[in-house]
Amino acid sequence: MGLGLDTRRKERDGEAAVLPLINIVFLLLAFFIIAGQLTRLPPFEVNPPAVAADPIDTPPEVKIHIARDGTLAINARLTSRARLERRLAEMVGREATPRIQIVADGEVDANTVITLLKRMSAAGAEAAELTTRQP
Amino acid sequence: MTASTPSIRAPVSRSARLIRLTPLIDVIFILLIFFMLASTLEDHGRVPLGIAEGGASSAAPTDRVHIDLLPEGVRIDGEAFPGGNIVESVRQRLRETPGGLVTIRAREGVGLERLLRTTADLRGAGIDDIALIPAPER
Repeated sequence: MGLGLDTRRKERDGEAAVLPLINIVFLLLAFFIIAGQLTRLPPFEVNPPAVAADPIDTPPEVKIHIARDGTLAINARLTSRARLERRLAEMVGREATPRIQIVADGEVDANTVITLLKRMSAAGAEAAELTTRQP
Repeated sequence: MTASTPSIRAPVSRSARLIRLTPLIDVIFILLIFFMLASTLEDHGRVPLGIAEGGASSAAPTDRVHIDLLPEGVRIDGEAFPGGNIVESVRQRLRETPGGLVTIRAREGVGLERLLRTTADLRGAGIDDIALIPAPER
């Protein structure tokens, strides 16, 4: 009887000893939930240029990724230029034009991006935004 | 002594039965690892960019300050710029130009980072009317 009480108390003391650990793990969990964003990553590596710019306040509806070699992805799915343009034309035809964000690699040829912007504006999309990495 | 023993034991065993910490920690750890791996903490910025209308023509209209980004240098309104910061030169030209629009064309071999750095430099100096000129389509 006395032994049972003793081991139970020991067990309880052992659990009380991990309470600070749980506190810290809870804090870390809360930090990652609040500070991190769960975004789908494109199927290739993209390193946006390191240029200071205004922070992104609202997440965009459409994300276009451009790899260093010009490979395109829309909403993290590989696509070709023709298919991308078709999708953009479909989207722009709707009532509410979606906010489009372009995440392009810093080393991609600038004209690849400018041409895409031009095609988008020709399709009727309003100003798109390019993404940078804050230095 | 015998009367006091149950009163000590009861709360211990009840609390021990109510919640066990070890499975809770397991679940929290799994959640923590999930959020650490799945979320990105990168700080991103946005640069709105516009395309100049009818800008593909080679003759630069007189109401604009035109910047040509070449792989090895910069040209402003057709004149080679020796290097350094182009902002002061652009600002000076803008004072003489009524339209106040700055157009930028990037030649082949110019990376996006350089283009964005140029626009960021100009915006930082208060020059906000910037439009890009697409290269002629091949």
